[in-house]
Amino acid sequence: MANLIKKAQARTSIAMLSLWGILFTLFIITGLVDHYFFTISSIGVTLQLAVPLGLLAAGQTICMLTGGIDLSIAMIATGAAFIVSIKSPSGLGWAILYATLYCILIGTINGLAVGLFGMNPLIMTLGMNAVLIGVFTVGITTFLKGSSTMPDIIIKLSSGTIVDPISWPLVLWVVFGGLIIFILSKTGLGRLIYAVGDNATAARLAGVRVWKVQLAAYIICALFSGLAGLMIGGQSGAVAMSLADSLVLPSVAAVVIGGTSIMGGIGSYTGSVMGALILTVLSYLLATLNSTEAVKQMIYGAIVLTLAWTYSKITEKS
Amino acid sequence: MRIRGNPESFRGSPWFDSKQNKCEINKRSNLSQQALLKISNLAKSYGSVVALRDANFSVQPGEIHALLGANGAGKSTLVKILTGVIGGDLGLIELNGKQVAFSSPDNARKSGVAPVFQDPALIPDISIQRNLYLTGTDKDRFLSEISSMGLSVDLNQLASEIELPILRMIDLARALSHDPELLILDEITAALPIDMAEKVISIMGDHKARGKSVIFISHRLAEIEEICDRATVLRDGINVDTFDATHGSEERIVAAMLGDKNVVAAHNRNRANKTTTAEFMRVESLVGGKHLKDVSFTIKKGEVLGVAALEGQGQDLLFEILAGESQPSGGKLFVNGQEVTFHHPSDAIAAGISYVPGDRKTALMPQRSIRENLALTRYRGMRRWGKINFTEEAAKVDGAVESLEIDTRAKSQVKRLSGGNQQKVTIGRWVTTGFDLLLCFDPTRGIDVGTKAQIYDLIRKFSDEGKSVLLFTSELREIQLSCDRAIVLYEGKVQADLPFEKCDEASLLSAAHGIVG
Amino acid sequence: MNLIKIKRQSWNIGIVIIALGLGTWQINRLPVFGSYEARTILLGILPIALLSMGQAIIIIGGGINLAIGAESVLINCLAARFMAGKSFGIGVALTIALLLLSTCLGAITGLIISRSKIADIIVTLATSFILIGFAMYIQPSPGGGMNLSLAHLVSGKGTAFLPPLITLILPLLIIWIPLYRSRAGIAMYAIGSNKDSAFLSGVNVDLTRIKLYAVGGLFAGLSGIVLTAITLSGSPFASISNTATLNSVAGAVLGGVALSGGVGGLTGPALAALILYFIPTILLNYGIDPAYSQIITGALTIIVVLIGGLIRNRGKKK
Repeated sequence: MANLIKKAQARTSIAMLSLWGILFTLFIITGLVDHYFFTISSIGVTLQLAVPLGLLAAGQTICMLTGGIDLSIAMIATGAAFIVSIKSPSGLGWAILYATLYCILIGTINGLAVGLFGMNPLIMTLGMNAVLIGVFTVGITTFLKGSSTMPDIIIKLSSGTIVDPISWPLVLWVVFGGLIIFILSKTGLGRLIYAVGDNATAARLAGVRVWKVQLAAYIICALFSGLAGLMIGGQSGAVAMSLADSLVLPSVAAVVIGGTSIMGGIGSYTGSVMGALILTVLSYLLATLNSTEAVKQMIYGAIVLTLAWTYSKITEKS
Repeated sequence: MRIRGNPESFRGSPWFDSKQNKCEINKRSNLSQQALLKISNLAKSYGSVVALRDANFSVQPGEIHALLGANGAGKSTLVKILTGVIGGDLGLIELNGKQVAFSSPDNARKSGVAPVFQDPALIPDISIQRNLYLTGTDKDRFLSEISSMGLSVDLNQLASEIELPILRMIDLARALSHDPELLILDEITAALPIDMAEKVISIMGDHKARGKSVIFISHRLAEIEEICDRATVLRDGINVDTFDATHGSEERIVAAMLGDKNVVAAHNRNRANKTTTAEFMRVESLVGGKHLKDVSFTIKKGEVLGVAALEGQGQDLLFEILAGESQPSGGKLFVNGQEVTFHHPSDAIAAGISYVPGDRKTALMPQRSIRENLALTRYRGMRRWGKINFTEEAAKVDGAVESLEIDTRAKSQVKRLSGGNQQKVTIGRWVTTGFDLLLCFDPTRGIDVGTKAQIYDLIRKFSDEGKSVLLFTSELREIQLSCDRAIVLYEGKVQADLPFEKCDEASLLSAAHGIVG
Repeated sequence: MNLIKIKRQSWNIGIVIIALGLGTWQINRLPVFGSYEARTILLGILPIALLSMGQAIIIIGGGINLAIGAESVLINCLAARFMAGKSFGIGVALTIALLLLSTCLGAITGLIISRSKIADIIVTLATSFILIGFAMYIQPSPGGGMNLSLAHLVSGKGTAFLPPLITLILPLLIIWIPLYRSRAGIAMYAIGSNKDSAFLSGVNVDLTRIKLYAVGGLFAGLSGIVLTAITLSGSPFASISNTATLNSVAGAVLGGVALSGGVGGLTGPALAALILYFIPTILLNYGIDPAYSQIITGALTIIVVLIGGLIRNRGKKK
C-alpha cells in the first residue's frame, strides 16, 4: 500500500526534519541574541568554524557505521598538522605526502587491530592516541624538530573567504563531504560498510572479507582526520599538541546527534553534517551568551543524551 | 492470575480446525486425584509466527510424562512459558489447582517447577560453587545428588572448564537439590554418553518414587517407552494425542506427529533419470564438532538432495562446513572431482556453493532495505568496491524480486518483512549472483503455507536449471515433495540413503530415530 | 590452596611480580627509602587505583563508564568547595553525603542505560559532559580546601604512610570482598559473562546493572575525596577527567579484567596502578622524557588486551 511506503519514508524524514528544526531554532535564537549573527559574513565565519568538526565527523561516521569508533583522531589530526608544518620548508608537496602516509599508517594499524585481531575499537584507539601523544611529545624535541607554523597556503585554504558566505574551507568541506556521501551511497564499499555494521555474520556468509572493509574504514577515517588537522592548524596559524583535543568527543556527539547508531548499520553523513552545524551554532550561542564552559558542557551532554534516547525510541517502535 | 485473553474468541480463528482428529485422553485409574499441573488453551505467537495455538496438557503427581513433537511443534515454547522465561498470550496454567503465571525462572523455581535445558543455564566464567550460590542452592544437598550420580565435581572449577555432558548433570543435580514438585527435562539426554543417559533415566525413576513428577522431552523413543507413564504429542502448536507410553507405541507416536492434514500436492514434474548426470559434490568421511563422526554422501548436478535428522545431530555444522563457515576436523570434500578446502565462505562461493542459513537473523541485514540485502553478494570482492552500476543492479534485483514474488511494499527495512518474505530475500541474494549448489537449511521453518509452496517451486526450478540443492528440513513431508533423494543423519553418520519414492514420512522419521529396516 | 585457585590468580601473581620488580628497581635508585617515600608512592597511586577498581567492577558486569573520571572530578570539586574552612565533623558528614551522591549518580547512569537501551558508551559519554560541566559550575577555577585533620586521616602526613595504605585497602576489605561473596556480586559477574544464562538463573538483569554502576560510582566518589585530601583543592578540568577515565580503563585491563565481562577482580587493578605509577617515575629518574611513559602505557594497554583476547578466544571455536 502506498500508505505503508509513505509512513516508512516519513519516519526517516522525521529525524531529518527535527534536525533541521533544531538547527533553525538555534539559528534564530543566536540571531536574536547577537544581531550581527544574521549577517552573511557572520554566517560565513560560522560555517568556516564548523568545517574541522565536520571533517572529523566524516571519519567518525564511517567508523561508527561499521560498529566501531575512533578516539585516536585527535592525535592523527595533530600529528598530520605537525608533519606538514615541520616538513613544509623542504617542499609543500613532500610535506603533504608524508602527512598522508602517516594517516594511512595509523589507520592501517587501527584497522588491522580491530579487523584481524578482533580488538575492541575503543581500547585500541584510546591506546593508540596515548602512544601517539608520547611519540610526538618526544618527537618535536628530537626527530621532528622544526617550525610549528603552518605554511601560508594551508592558512589561506583554512580561513580564506572567497565571497561571503562561501570560503575555501567550506568549498573543501563540500568537496570532501560530497566524496563521503558518494562513497556511502553510490559505491560497493559503501554498501559493505553498512553491511558489516548491520550484521557482520551475514556479510561474511555472503562472501565478504569483513576485515578488509574495517581496514578501509579506519584508513578513510584517518585521512579525513589528517585533513581536519591541517584545517585546524591553518585556522589557528600554529600547531600545538592540544590542537584537536576539544573536538574528539564533539565529533562522536555530532555523529550520534545525526542519527548514526554506535552499533552500526544505520545512519548517514548528512545527519552528521547537521550534527556538526548544530554543535557549532550552539557553541557560538553559548559564547555569545557569555555562558561559562560549565553550562556549555552540561547542555552538550543533555542534547546528546536526549537525541540518542529519541532515536532509540523511534527505532524501537518498529 | 489469568493470562489475559479470552479462549472462546480464539476458537473462532481460522487456524482452529474443529474437524481435527483428537484422541481421547487415556484415563488412568488415579485420575480422580487432582492434577499437579494443568495447562489449558495455551497460545503464543511471535509476531506472525504462531508457536502455540491451543495447547492442553496435564501432569499427575508421581508421574513421568513425555512431551513429544517434531521440530517447531511448540514444545520449547510451552516449556518456556511454564518456567517463566516468556509469557503466554492466552490460556491458563494451574499448579495444584491454583492459577499461576510465572514472571521469571526464579519465580517458577520457588513454586516447585524446575527446568533443565539442553544448554545448561550455568554462568560460564564463574565457579560451580558461586553458580550454586546464585540460585540459592544448598551445597551439601547438591554434592549428595552429584555423588548419587556416581560423579565427583570440584566446586572451584569454572563452568566453562567443564565438559558439556557433566555440565548437564550438574544442572540436573542443581535442579534436584531444590526438590521440585515438577522437574522438566528438555532434551537433556541428547548427545549424552549412554551411561549418563541411563543415570538420568534412573534419577527420573527415583524422583517419581518420591511422589514427584517429571516432564520429559526427548526424541529417543526407546527411553520414553522405558520410563514414561504417559506421553503427549504436540503438532503445530496443539496437543493431538495423549496416551500411555507402553512398548510398541512408536507407531502411534509417529502417526500423531505426522497427522493427516491435507498434503500440499506433490509436484508433477519430470524427475526422470537423475542417475546419468554427473557428480557435483562428494563428501568423504567428514568429521566435525561433537556430532559428525563419519559423514559420506554425494550430490549430482541438478539434483535436489534432502537431509533429514532429529534436532542436535550436527546437521547445522554439516551445512556450515560445506558453506565454508566452519572447518571440519577430518574427512575430504570434492567439487567437480577436485578436492577443496574452504577457509572462508568466499572460498565456497567461488566453488559455486551458496548458503541459506536456517536462522534468518544470520543471513539478513535487518536495518537495510530489500534491495541492499538482495544485492549484497554482488559486492563481496574488492573489485566491486567502486561505483555501483545501478541499472545492472536494478535489473538483477528486480529479476530476483519477480522470480521469487517478494512483497516489496515495506521497502525501508528488511526487519519489517514477514518471515516468509524474509526467507525469500535470503534465497534471493543468491539468485542475483548465481550458484551451482544451494545449501538450504530449514528454509520453510515458521513460514505460512502459501510461501512454503512457492519455495518448493523455486527449489524444483533451480533443479530444472541444472543447479543442485542440499535441503535440510524439519518438515519431513517436504522431502518427498521437493527432493529427488534423501539422506538421514543419526548418531554422526548417514543412516539411510533413500530415493524419493521411499521418502515417506514414516520411513524418514523411523530412520531419524535410528530404526532402520 | 588447590591448583585451580592458583591458576585463577596467575594474572594477579604476574602483576605482583612486575610491580615488585619495578618497585624494587625504583626503590634501589633512591638514596633513602623510608616511610616518607612509601607514603609518596601510596599517594601517587591512590586516586587512580580507586578509580580503576570502580571501572573494573563495571567492566566485569559487562558495561563501561566513560564518565567515571568526571564523577570523581565532580566529587573532588564539591568536596573542596564545601569543606573549605569547615570543622572535622562537618567534613566527615559531607564525605558521607558526597559518597552517597556519587553512588546515586552511578545508579542513575545504570538506570538510564537499562531503560533507554542506548549503548553504555554513548550514555556515559553524554553524562561525562554533564558531570564535568556541573563540576565547573561548582568550582569555576581551582581552589577550595579540606579540613586538615580529615585530610591527614585519609592521606597521612609527613612520614605517616599508614593512613593512605588503609584508605587503599579498606574499600577492598569492607566493600569489595563482601560484595564479591554476596549474591548481588555474583549476579554482576553473571550478567557480564552471559546475560541469558543469568536471567535463567534468576538474576534481575536491569536491577543488577543499576547496582553495578552504583558501586562504580561509590569508588569514583572515594577517588574524588582522596584527590581532595591529597591536593587540598578542587580542579575542574576536562583534561583531568578524561585522562583519569583513560587510566582507569588501562588500570582495569592491566589488572586482568576482561573487556568482554565476567572475568577479573579488584586486587589486580589496584596492583596495576602500581605499574602505571612506577613506569613514568622510573623513566623520569633516568632522565627519559616522561612522554615515553605515555607511549609505554598506551602500547602496554593495547598489547595486554590483545594477548588477553587471543588467550581467551583460543579455546573457542569459530
